[in-house]
Amino acid sequence: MYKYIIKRLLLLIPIMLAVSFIVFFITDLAPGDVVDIISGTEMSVEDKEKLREEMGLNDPFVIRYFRYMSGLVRGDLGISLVTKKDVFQVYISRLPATLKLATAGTVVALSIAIPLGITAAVHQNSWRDSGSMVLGLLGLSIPTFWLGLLMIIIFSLKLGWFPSIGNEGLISVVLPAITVGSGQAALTMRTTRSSMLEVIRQDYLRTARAKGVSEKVVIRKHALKNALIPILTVAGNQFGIAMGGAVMTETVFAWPGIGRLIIDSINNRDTQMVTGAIILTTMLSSVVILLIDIAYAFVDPRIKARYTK
Amino acid sequence: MNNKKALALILCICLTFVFLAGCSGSQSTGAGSTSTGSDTNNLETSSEKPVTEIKKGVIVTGKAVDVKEDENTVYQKRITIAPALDFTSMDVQNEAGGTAKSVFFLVFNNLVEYDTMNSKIVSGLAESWEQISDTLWEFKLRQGVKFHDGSDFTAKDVKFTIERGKNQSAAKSKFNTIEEVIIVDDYTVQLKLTAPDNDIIYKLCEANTVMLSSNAFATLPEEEANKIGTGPYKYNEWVQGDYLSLIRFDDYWEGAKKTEEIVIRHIPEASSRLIALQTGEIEICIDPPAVDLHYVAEDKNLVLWQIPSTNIRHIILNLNVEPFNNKLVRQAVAHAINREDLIAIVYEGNATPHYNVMHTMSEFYVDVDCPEFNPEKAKALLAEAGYPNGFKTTIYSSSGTVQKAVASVIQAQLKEIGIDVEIQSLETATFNAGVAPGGTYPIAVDGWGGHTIGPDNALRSPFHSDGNINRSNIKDKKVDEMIDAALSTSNYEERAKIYAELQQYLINNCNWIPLAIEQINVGMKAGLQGYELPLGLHHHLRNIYIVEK
Repeated sequence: MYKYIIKRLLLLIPIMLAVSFIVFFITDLAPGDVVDIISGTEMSVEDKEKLREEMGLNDPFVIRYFRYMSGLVRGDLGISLVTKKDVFQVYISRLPATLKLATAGTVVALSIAIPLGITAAVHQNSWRDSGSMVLGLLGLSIPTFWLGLLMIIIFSLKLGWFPSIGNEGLISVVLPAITVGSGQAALTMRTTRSSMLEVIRQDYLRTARAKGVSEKVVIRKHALKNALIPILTVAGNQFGIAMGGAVMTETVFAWPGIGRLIIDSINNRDTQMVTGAIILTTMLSSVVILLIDIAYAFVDPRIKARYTK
Repeated sequence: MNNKKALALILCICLTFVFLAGCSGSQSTGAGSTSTGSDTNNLETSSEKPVTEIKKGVIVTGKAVDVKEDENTVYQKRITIAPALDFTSMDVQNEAGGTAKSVFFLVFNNLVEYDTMNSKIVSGLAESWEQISDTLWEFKLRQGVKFHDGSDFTAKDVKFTIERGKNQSAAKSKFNTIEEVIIVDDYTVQLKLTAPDNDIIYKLCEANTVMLSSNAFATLPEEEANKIGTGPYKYNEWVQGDYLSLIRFDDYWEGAKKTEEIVIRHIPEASSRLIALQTGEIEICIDPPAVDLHYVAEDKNLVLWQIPSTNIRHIILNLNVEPFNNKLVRQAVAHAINREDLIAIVYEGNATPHYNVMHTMSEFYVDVDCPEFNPEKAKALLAEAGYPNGFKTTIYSSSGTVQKAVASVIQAQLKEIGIDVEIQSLETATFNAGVAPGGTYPIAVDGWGGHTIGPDNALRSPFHSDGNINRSNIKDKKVDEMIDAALSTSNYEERAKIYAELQQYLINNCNWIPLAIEQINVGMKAGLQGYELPLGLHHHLRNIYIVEK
């Protein structure tokens, strides 16, 4: 097991190298640079060139990339080209908000998806099945932007139950979490349904029923546990994606998360911030996926046995 | 049966959504939407029509609450403002962003300041000033002024600020005509100029020329020293992309302000910004969505200010690119533009058509003969230039909603005279790089609000051969000479004459076609007092307060 974890962690190194190169390269390909953003109308052409020279922006791509990497291997992600703040510090300051939203969104998604998915599978082809699927489809097709604004209008403006913006206390996460979660719920629900459908046809469930175990226990203890691996995979992946930032939700709710940090930095051509933030997000997402893989072992003893071989 | 139930369920869900959405639409146009703000309880909630008043070109809709103040008055501790653009840096002499500049006016003071409500220059940290000769100005400094680090403001801070600023990117262009800062005594300084500069006094009012603490720069890291000013509010905390908090400076030389904390909150989405104002989570919303202004105007708890901005929306015709190097073609384009239609479509009527390169707010503005809308004349000019069947070209705009809409209207209007225009909408960095002097964009939609730093900056930046934003690539010796002469001529009438001639000359040249003066829209709580007109994008928030009880 430990060997497996170490192997997976070591695999992060080439991933990081590839990610840093791709991000740095793509940001470099985009026309315009950070000086075009920060100079406004106040700087002459000569001063802009001087600033580019000072910032090292005129150096060839390879030199700039190696300069960045030499900092990175020493654990230095550099300074933002726009705000002059330490990239790592800025990222860390945004992380709690992102983790809060990603966790709350996943909790909302799972609490909608699992009960509805199970209901749909248990009552296959009934109105409950169709109803759940319609809800799922709605969740997937309603644009996040629209749903977010609608929720703000109803629950903040009209009813005054929740704040409409920002990250202050637990109450502020409710609306953004529902917005993020409703989109995620759809996929998790469909996965739950199909995974459950596969399991409920198995012989061991028939045996359990024949032994007189109640239907509730059959579903909850025997069927759901065995159907959990695909659900865990989907939910975990969605959590990983949410860690990269739910940009639309963050924009509508003025949520100070990683997604907006990355988008703003791309628009500002802040190469240091973009590359640093994406490297850190990739690392975090990889760790989340690793944790899910480890969680398989606890859900399914067969996998645990394979790890310990 | 099952199918029917499923259908019924779907219908129920749809109806719920429609009902909820319907509720939101019908109620929000009413007189008073739900507000959680503390100051809104005493407000009237009758459904009278909103009161509209026009003061100095500003349309104020809604009525500010009348307040009575005495020694027992309690003021709301915190006021939150949500500007459209994020705050990006406290680097005073290098920052060009509008939101940051509004913050600099809260944290710092200038030697002289621009009173936007009365359009005149008033004393700041300098109690009085005098122009001794064409190239020598003397400033008597205010005594007893303290910086946030406790040090006294003296002549050496003025010297330090100006000498430092001459090497910093945003301050440089404002200090570059100052040759030397002479300290006469602790509270008297003289500025010796390299050449006569009639605009120096305007430049000293600018956000990048605020006074820094020499003591702070000597004792603190640069990042920290940049936060130390003499202004009424002190830097408190900045969470990038979220909020900036400023707290009251109790030793402020004018006396402590009424509001304890001012928070600048970043809400990127305009609709969310407006809703936050309606729910009472913020007190000032800058730039709510243009189509939703009526929500602010009709809400008895809010007041809407529609202020003519300093921004002149215009298009640039690049003289380096064919066929715009041909004056007849440029004149044809100018005759093809219908500003009234453009304003009706792009701004829903909330802008003023503009016909000059100089802003109407400038003291040197004159009425000029601008090519009128005349498609037939435009076609004739095109034919005369050798393009009887028109030609194909491209218009570039940044990805802002207004810029894209202007590009679309220009595309349609030029189509009428046979010019086939393709639109390229680009994000800011790409656009700025492409329109930089020497760029290759044939037509570009741009904006310019530089007259706040004086008439020289207003015309030098876009029209002088060496101008920072000479995006039409005009290299005209006559224009350069007129700009230089106007800056150094001490005779006011002579100067006015040069500027008048220059404005007409540039309008005839048609490399820079003005379209409209835009509007800054600001929604605020009806209880808010002390808001002042912004200068450009810089909102004056020093004196804002709300009476709590």
